[in-house]
Amino acid sequence: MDGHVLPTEDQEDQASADDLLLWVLVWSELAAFGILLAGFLVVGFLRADAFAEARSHLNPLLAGINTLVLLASGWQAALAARPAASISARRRALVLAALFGFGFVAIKLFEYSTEIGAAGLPQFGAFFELYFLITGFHLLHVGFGSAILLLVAWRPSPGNIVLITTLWHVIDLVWIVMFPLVYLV
Amino acid sequence: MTHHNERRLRKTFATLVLLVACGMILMTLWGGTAAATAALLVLAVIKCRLVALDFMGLAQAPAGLRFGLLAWPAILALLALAKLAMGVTLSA
Repeated sequence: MDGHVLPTEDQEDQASADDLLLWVLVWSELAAFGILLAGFLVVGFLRADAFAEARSHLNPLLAGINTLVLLASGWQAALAARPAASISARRRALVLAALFGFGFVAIKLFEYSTEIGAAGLPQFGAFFELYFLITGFHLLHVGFGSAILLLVAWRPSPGNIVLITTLWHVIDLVWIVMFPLVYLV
Repeated sequence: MTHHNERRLRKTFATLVLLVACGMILMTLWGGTAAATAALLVLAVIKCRLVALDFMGLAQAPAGLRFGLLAWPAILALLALAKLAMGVTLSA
Protein backbone atom coordinates (compact mmCIF):
# COMPACT_ATOMS: atom_id res chain seq x y z
CA MET A 1 0.00 0.00 0.00
CA ASP A 2 2.74 2.37 1.09
CA GLY A 3 4.59 1.45 -2.04
CA HIS A 4 1.69 2.87 -4.08
CA VAL A 5 1.09 5.98 -1.99
CA LEU A 6 4.66 7.26 -1.69
CA PRO A 7 5.45 7.55 -5.40
CA THR A 8 2.18 9.43 -5.92
CA GLU A 9 3.08 11.94 -3.20
CA ASP A 10 6.57 12.21 -4.62
CA GLN A 11 5.14 12.85 -8.05
CA GLU A 12 2.81 15.53 -6.67
CA ASP A 13 5.72 17.17 -4.83
CA GLN A 14 7.83 17.05 -7.99
CA ALA A 15 5.01 18.54 -10.09
CA SER A 16 4.50 21.30 -7.52
CA ALA A 17 8.25 22.04 -7.44
CA ASP A 18 8.36 22.13 -11.25
CA ASP A 19 5.40 24.50 -11.27
CA LEU A 20 7.05 26.79 -8.73
CA LEU A 21 10.33 26.77 -10.67
CA LEU A 22 8.46 27.62 -13.86
CA TRP A 23 6.74 30.65 -12.34
CA VAL A 24 9.93 31.82 -10.64
CA LEU A 25 11.56 31.76 -14.08
CA VAL A 26 8.59 33.54 -15.68
CA TRP A 27 8.61 36.34 -13.09
CA SER A 28 12.40 36.68 -13.22
CA GLU A 29 12.12 37.33 -16.95
CA LEU A 30 9.24 39.74 -16.57
CA ALA A 31 10.96 41.62 -13.74
CA ALA A 32 14.24 41.94 -15.68
CA PHE A 33 12.57 43.17 -18.86
CA GLY A 34 10.15 45.36 -16.88
CA ILE A 35 13.04 47.20 -15.22
CA LEU A 36 14.89 47.59 -18.54
CA LEU A 37 11.81 48.93 -20.34
CA ALA A 38 10.90 51.28 -17.48
CA GLY A 39 14.49 52.58 -17.54
CA PHE A 40 14.23 53.09 -21.30
CA LEU A 41 11.05 55.13 -20.82
CA VAL A 42 12.63 57.31 -18.11
CA VAL A 43 15.79 58.04 -20.14
CA GLY A 44 13.58 58.62 -23.20
CA PHE A 45 11.61 61.21 -21.24
CA LEU A 46 14.77 62.98 -20.07
CA ARG A 47 16.33 63.01 -23.56
CA ALA A 48 13.17 63.28 -25.62
CA ASP A 49 14.61 65.10 -28.64
CA ALA A 50 17.65 62.83 -29.09
CA PHE A 51 15.48 59.73 -28.68
CA ALA A 52 12.91 60.96 -31.22
CA GLU A 53 15.64 61.64 -33.76
CA ALA A 54 17.43 58.35 -33.13
CA ARG A 55 14.13 56.48 -33.43
CA SER A 56 13.78 57.71 -37.02
CA HIS A 57 16.73 55.41 -37.90
CA LEU A 58 14.82 52.30 -36.75
CA ASN A 59 12.75 50.12 -39.04
CA PRO A 60 9.27 49.60 -37.51
CA LEU A 61 8.10 47.68 -40.59
CA LEU A 62 10.67 44.91 -39.98
CA ALA A 63 9.75 44.96 -36.29
CA GLY A 64 6.09 44.55 -37.26
CA ILE A 65 6.95 41.59 -39.50
CA ASN A 66 8.92 40.12 -36.60
CA THR A 67 5.85 40.47 -34.37
CA LEU A 68 3.91 38.29 -36.82
CA VAL A 69 6.78 35.76 -36.95
CA LEU A 70 6.94 35.51 -33.16
CA LEU A 71 3.16 35.22 -32.85
CA ALA A 72 3.18 32.40 -35.41
CA SER A 73 5.86 30.73 -33.30
CA GLY A 74 3.75 31.20 -30.16
CA TRP A 75 0.75 29.68 -31.93
CA GLN A 76 2.79 26.58 -32.78
CA ALA A 77 4.10 26.41 -29.20
CA ALA A 78 0.49 26.50 -27.94
CA LEU A 79 -0.40 23.67 -30.33
CA ALA A 80 2.53 21.63 -28.99
CA ALA A 81 1.40 22.10 -25.36
CA ARG A 82 -2.05 20.54 -25.90
CA PRO A 83 -2.23 17.33 -23.84
CA ALA A 84 -4.53 15.79 -26.47
CA ALA A 85 -1.97 16.20 -29.27
CA SER A 86 -0.07 13.14 -30.49
CA ILE A 87 3.71 12.95 -30.06
CA SER A 88 4.28 13.51 -33.78
CA ALA A 89 1.95 16.55 -33.78
CA ARG A 90 3.80 17.95 -30.76
CA ARG A 91 7.16 17.38 -32.42
CA ARG A 92 6.04 19.08 -35.64
CA ALA A 93 4.63 22.09 -33.74
CA LEU A 94 7.81 22.44 -31.64
CA VAL A 95 10.05 22.32 -34.72
CA LEU A 96 7.87 24.92 -36.48
CA ALA A 97 7.93 27.13 -33.37
CA ALA A 98 11.75 26.88 -33.34
CA LEU A 99 12.00 27.66 -37.06
CA PHE A 100 9.84 30.77 -36.64
CA GLY A 101 12.11 31.69 -33.71
CA PHE A 102 15.21 31.40 -35.90
CA GLY A 103 13.36 33.44 -38.54
CA PHE A 104 12.87 36.18 -35.95
CA VAL A 105 16.61 36.11 -35.17
CA ALA A 106 17.52 36.39 -38.87
CA ILE A 107 15.17 39.34 -39.46
CA LYS A 108 16.39 41.11 -36.32
CA LEU A 109 20.04 40.67 -37.32
CA PHE A 110 19.23 42.11 -40.75
CA GLU A 111 17.47 45.01 -39.03
CA TYR A 112 20.56 45.62 -36.86
CA SER A 113 22.70 45.79 -40.02
CA THR A 114 20.56 48.69 -41.30
CA GLU A 115 20.77 50.54 -37.95
CA ILE A 116 24.38 50.04 -36.94
CA GLY A 117 25.55 53.06 -39.00
CA ALA A 118 23.42 55.51 -37.01
CA ALA A 119 24.38 53.84 -33.73
CA GLY A 120 27.91 55.24 -34.02
CA LEU A 121 26.74 58.86 -34.02
CA PRO A 122 27.54 60.45 -30.63
CA GLN A 123 24.21 62.25 -30.23
CA PHE A 124 22.38 58.90 -30.39
CA GLY A 125 24.69 57.13 -27.93
CA ALA A 126 22.25 56.73 -25.03
CA PHE A 127 19.39 55.59 -27.25
CA PHE A 128 21.32 52.94 -29.15
CA GLU A 129 23.12 51.64 -26.05
CA LEU A 130 19.76 50.95 -24.44
CA TYR A 131 18.20 49.80 -27.71
CA PHE A 132 20.88 47.17 -28.38
CA LEU A 133 20.96 46.14 -24.71
CA ILE A 134 17.20 45.56 -24.45
CA THR A 135 16.51 44.13 -27.92
CA GLY A 136 19.79 42.17 -27.87
CA PHE A 137 18.92 40.60 -24.50
CA HIS A 138 15.54 39.64 -25.94
CA LEU A 139 17.17 38.34 -29.12
CA LEU A 140 19.43 36.07 -27.06
CA HIS A 141 16.35 34.69 -25.34
CA VAL A 142 14.72 33.99 -28.72
CA GLY A 143 17.84 32.28 -30.13
CA PHE A 144 18.43 30.20 -27.01
CA GLY A 145 14.71 29.39 -26.67
CA SER A 146 14.56 28.23 -30.30
CA ALA A 147 17.46 25.84 -29.68
CA ILE A 148 15.72 24.48 -26.56
CA LEU A 149 12.48 24.04 -28.53
CA LEU A 150 14.40 21.86 -30.99
CA LEU A 151 15.95 19.86 -28.14
CA VAL A 152 12.52 19.29 -26.58
CA ALA A 153 11.13 18.30 -30.01
CA TRP A 154 13.83 15.64 -30.10
CA ARG A 155 12.84 14.35 -26.64
CA PRO A 156 9.29 15.56 -26.02
CA SER A 157 8.36 14.90 -22.37
CA PRO A 158 5.11 16.64 -21.26
CA GLY A 159 6.86 18.51 -18.39
CA ASN A 160 9.58 19.90 -20.64
CA ILE A 161 7.03 20.94 -23.28
CA VAL A 162 4.99 22.92 -20.72
CA LEU A 163 8.18 24.52 -19.33
CA ILE A 164 9.64 25.70 -22.64
CA THR A 165 6.33 26.71 -24.26
CA THR A 166 5.30 28.77 -21.21
CA LEU A 167 8.67 30.56 -21.24
CA TRP A 168 8.34 30.98 -25.00
CA HIS A 169 5.01 32.79 -24.54
CA VAL A 170 6.65 35.07 -21.99
CA ILE A 171 9.33 35.97 -24.57
CA ASP A 172 6.42 36.68 -26.93
CA LEU A 173 4.69 38.94 -24.35
CA VAL A 174 7.92 40.86 -23.77
CA TRP A 175 8.30 41.56 -27.51
CA ILE A 176 4.65 42.66 -27.88
CA VAL A 177 5.17 45.29 -25.16
CA MET A 178 8.73 46.16 -26.21
CA PHE A 179 7.77 47.00 -29.80
CA PRO A 180 5.63 50.13 -29.15
CA LEU A 181 7.75 51.22 -26.17
CA VAL A 182 11.07 51.13 -28.03
CA TYR A 183 9.97 52.02 -31.56
CA LEU A 184 7.17 54.52 -30.96
CA VAL A 185 6.74 56.08 -27.50
CA MET B 1 -3.31 25.76 -17.14
CA THR B 2 -6.05 24.93 -19.63
CA HIS B 3 -5.00 24.41 -23.20
CA HIS B 4 -7.53 25.17 -25.89
CA ASN B 5 -8.33 23.07 -28.91
CA GLU B 6 -6.71 23.56 -32.29
CA ARG B 7 -9.64 25.52 -33.73
CA ARG B 8 -9.72 27.98 -30.84
CA LEU B 9 -5.95 28.50 -31.10
CA ARG B 10 -6.24 29.12 -34.85
CA LYS B 11 -8.95 31.73 -34.17
CA THR B 12 -6.76 33.42 -31.56
CA PHE B 13 -3.82 33.51 -33.97
CA ALA B 14 -6.04 34.99 -36.72
CA THR B 15 -7.25 37.68 -34.28
CA LEU B 16 -3.65 38.48 -33.32
CA VAL B 17 -2.66 38.80 -37.00
CA LEU B 18 -5.61 41.14 -37.54
CA LEU B 19 -4.56 43.27 -34.55
CA VAL B 20 -0.97 43.47 -35.85
CA ALA B 21 -2.28 44.46 -39.31
CA CYS B 22 -4.47 47.17 -37.75
CA GLY B 23 -1.43 48.42 -35.82
CA MET B 24 0.71 48.54 -38.97
CA ILE B 25 -1.98 50.47 -40.88
CA LEU B 26 -2.37 52.87 -37.94
CA MET B 27 1.41 53.35 -37.83
CA THR B 28 1.63 53.95 -41.59
CA LEU B 29 -1.25 56.44 -41.77
CA TRP B 30 -0.92 58.31 -38.47
CA GLY B 31 2.49 57.22 -37.15
CA GLY B 32 4.16 59.72 -34.86
CA THR B 33 0.95 61.22 -33.46
CA ALA B 34 0.20 60.79 -29.76
CA ALA B 35 -3.27 59.37 -30.46
CA ALA B 36 -1.91 56.67 -32.79
CA THR B 37 0.82 55.73 -30.30
CA ALA B 38 -1.75 55.49 -27.49
CA ALA B 39 -3.95 53.28 -29.69
CA LEU B 40 -0.95 51.03 -30.46
CA LEU B 41 -0.25 50.67 -26.73
CA VAL B 42 -3.86 49.60 -26.15
CA LEU B 43 -3.54 47.09 -29.02
CA ALA B 44 -0.36 45.71 -27.40
CA VAL B 45 -2.19 45.12 -24.10
CA ILE B 46 -5.04 43.34 -25.94
CA LYS B 47 -2.50 41.14 -27.78
CA CYS B 48 -0.79 40.26 -24.48
CA ARG B 49 -4.16 39.32 -23.00
CA LEU B 50 -4.87 36.95 -25.90
CA VAL B 51 -1.41 35.36 -25.68
CA ALA B 52 -1.64 34.92 -21.88
CA LEU B 53 -5.19 33.59 -21.74
CA ASP B 54 -5.35 31.49 -24.92
CA PHE B 55 -1.78 30.54 -25.89
CA MET B 56 -0.48 30.16 -22.31
CA GLY B 57 -3.83 28.72 -21.23
CA LEU B 58 -4.20 30.97 -18.18
CA ALA B 59 -7.95 31.51 -18.61
CA GLN B 60 -8.69 28.96 -15.85
CA ALA B 61 -5.52 29.64 -13.80
CA PRO B 62 -5.69 31.00 -10.22
CA ALA B 63 -6.81 34.64 -10.22
CA GLY B 64 -3.58 35.95 -8.67
CA LEU B 65 -1.44 34.34 -11.35
CA ARG B 66 -3.71 35.48 -14.15
CA PHE B 67 -4.08 39.08 -12.99
CA GLY B 68 -0.38 39.30 -12.15
CA LEU B 69 0.57 38.33 -15.66
CA LEU B 70 -2.03 40.61 -17.24
CA ALA B 71 -0.92 43.49 -15.00
CA TRP B 72 2.67 43.41 -16.34
CA PRO B 73 1.88 44.72 -19.85
CA ALA B 74 -0.85 47.02 -18.50
CA ILE B 75 1.54 48.72 -16.05
CA LEU B 76 4.21 49.25 -18.71
CA ALA B 77 1.60 50.58 -21.16
CA LEU B 78 0.31 52.98 -18.49
CA LEU B 79 3.88 54.17 -17.83
CA ALA B 80 4.33 54.75 -21.57
CA LEU B 81 1.00 56.60 -21.77
CA ALA B 82 2.05 58.79 -18.82
CA LYS B 83 5.32 59.59 -20.59
CA LEU B 84 3.42 60.39 -23.76
CA ALA B 85 0.95 62.66 -21.90
CA MET B 86 3.75 64.51 -20.08
CA GLY B 87 5.60 64.99 -23.37
CA VAL B 88 2.49 66.43 -25.04
CA THR B 89 1.76 68.70 -22.04
CA LEU B 90 5.33 70.02 -21.84
CA SER B 91 5.56 70.70 -25.57
CA ALA B 92 2.19 72.55 -25.66
